[in-house]
Amino acid sequence: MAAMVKNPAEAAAVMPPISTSVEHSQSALPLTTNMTASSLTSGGNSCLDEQIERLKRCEYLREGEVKALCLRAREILVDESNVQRVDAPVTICGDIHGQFYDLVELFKVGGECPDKNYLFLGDFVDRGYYSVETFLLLLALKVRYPDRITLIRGNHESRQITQVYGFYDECLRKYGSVNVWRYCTEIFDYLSLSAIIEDKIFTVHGGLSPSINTLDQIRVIDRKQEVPHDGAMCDLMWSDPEEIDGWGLSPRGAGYLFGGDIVAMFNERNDLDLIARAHQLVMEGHRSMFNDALVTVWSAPNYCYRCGNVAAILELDENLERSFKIFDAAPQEARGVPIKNPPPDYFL
Amino acid sequence: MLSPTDQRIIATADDAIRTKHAAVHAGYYADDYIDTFFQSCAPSQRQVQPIIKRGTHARVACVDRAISSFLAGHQTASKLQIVVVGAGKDTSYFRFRDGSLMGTESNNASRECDWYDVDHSLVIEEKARIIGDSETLAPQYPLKATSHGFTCTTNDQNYTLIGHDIREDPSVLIKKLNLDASVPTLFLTECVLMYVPDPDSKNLLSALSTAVKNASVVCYEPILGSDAFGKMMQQNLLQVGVATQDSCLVRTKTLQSQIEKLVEAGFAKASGCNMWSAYQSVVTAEQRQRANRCEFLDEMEEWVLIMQHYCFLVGTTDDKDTESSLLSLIPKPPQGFSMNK
Repeated sequence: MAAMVKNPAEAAAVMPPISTSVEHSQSALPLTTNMTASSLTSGGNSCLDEQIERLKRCEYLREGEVKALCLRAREILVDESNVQRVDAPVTICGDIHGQFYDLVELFKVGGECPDKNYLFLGDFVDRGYYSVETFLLLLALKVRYPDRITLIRGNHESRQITQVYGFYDECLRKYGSVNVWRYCTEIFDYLSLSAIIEDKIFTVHGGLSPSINTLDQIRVIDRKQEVPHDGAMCDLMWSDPEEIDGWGLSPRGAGYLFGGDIVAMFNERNDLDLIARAHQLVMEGHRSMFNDALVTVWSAPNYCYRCGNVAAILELDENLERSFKIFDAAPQEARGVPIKNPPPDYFL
Repeated sequence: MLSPTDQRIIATADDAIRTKHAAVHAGYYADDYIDTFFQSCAPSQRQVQPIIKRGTHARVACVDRAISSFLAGHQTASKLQIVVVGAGKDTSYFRFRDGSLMGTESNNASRECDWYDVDHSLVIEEKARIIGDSETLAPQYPLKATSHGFTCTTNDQNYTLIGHDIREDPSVLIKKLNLDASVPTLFLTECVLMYVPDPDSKNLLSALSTAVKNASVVCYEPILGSDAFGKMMQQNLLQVGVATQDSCLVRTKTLQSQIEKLVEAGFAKASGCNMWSAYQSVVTAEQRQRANRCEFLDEMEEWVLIMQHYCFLVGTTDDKDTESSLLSLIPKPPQGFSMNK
């Protein structure tokens, strides 16, 4: 969206300091465990399969189950690279934002996991009504089929952002305590920062960083922390492509705007064909820029139940040929028992 | 007997106060009276989203600036009148009197100006009760009941609350207002016409434009357009039950048609822009910077979209427009409704 802001410097918001309203210096999950991952839930995969079935019905897990699931997820995620290798064929998905029934629709359109190999580019939570169910379903699938689904971190997978945009409140409302929020946000710190498909397609939630020239520079970031307010890790999750030369200040107040020349340089230096990213609402579900050197994929249809947009997923076949699948929001009748969710806000 | 639609529309008075209260407490702007009126709102579990707070700030900043411009633009007039149609529990009058309207030019607070807040009698009664119960407001504004509402006079300035359902005959409203036709008058409507059937809105505006010799109008209204966001907005608002297929919300969908309606209603000079454009012109750089310091916005795209679906309109019957600086608020050239890219 070009030229939305006359003066980015003026528009740039200042990120407030990380809220101290919630204590998160102490780990909610035990740092080490003598139990093996598979013994953490009695019954191992059969138990997990049952949990996945429940989650697919949009029923959330008990607090103890969430804790156990997070512990198992942590053991898997801790070994992943900051630039996680992913094989083709794979289906790339953008922001989901707690729109659970639209995620179910996505799997209907794109095929179920593990039949299909999935790569989610972050922003699982906030905004929608079902961040808990959405994130836990994706996490449960990750634990059950670690090689068939890759989850990377978006800017909303953050303690600070989730306190403003809904996930924190949702956990509190659904569980009566913030424990589940603590378990999940701790797992956020372990999510990979980016992925590379067959050495040719680089995927990240937001975009590039002026502090990053090579993939190796991403590989050495210590990612196990809250999303910082600036620096390489922040930029990867916050930056946006823009029709400019070089770098620009982001109107979001974090990350940068980067132009086609930056993308061309990055792709050449790292021998890449494409950057696939999410992070920006695209009314048509996807948008290619810079002579197809970069693509934005947006997977939350009718975003916030307000925007009226369609969503897309990007399918890459074994030859990395690209095709998009477009989908609408799940129809009302697919949304299960009508729960009285508040209507979206407008100025009235 | 109130229909569910009536109840829902009346409840929008609380919606507006709730979002203003959230915006004020997030630091977007100051309003010393918002807490007083917020206390009376039905409790809501809902967190007000940053995008709504930011847009509410933009709305208040634009309307405040319009009031200031009107006051400043009629320096030679010894007296002015301001009528807020569909005022709800709006606090503008109290902020005007204590000089805390945003963008208030110096001395405006002491300008002689009779002020009228018009809304459904149920809303007006509650507003009067809140003022009467308030330790700070009651002594300053000792309201007395009248046949159409309430009034008080302080320092020779009248503050009048008038109970009127704006979907009813506007000539009745004009009678109730009993304005001095020789006094330059500003009419304000914020998210009011959207609920009214289209022909009624024209009648209302015509009645306002002819009520006094020199009438100005400022409107803040949605413009759905025909894009996907607008279609969803229409569907959502119809579902909530605040508007019907006959309402202006559905019938007056573009900036151009909003402006034309004002002109047809007798406001010979009318202009407007969408709120995204107003945010960069009517809202000042200082105000935008303050907003940015309050909360950062994670979604620029959605912010632009929602702002493009509301408009800020001004009009005047004074075709010489020698004094009014209202029209100059609108950025040149006046920007029509267009989706980005």
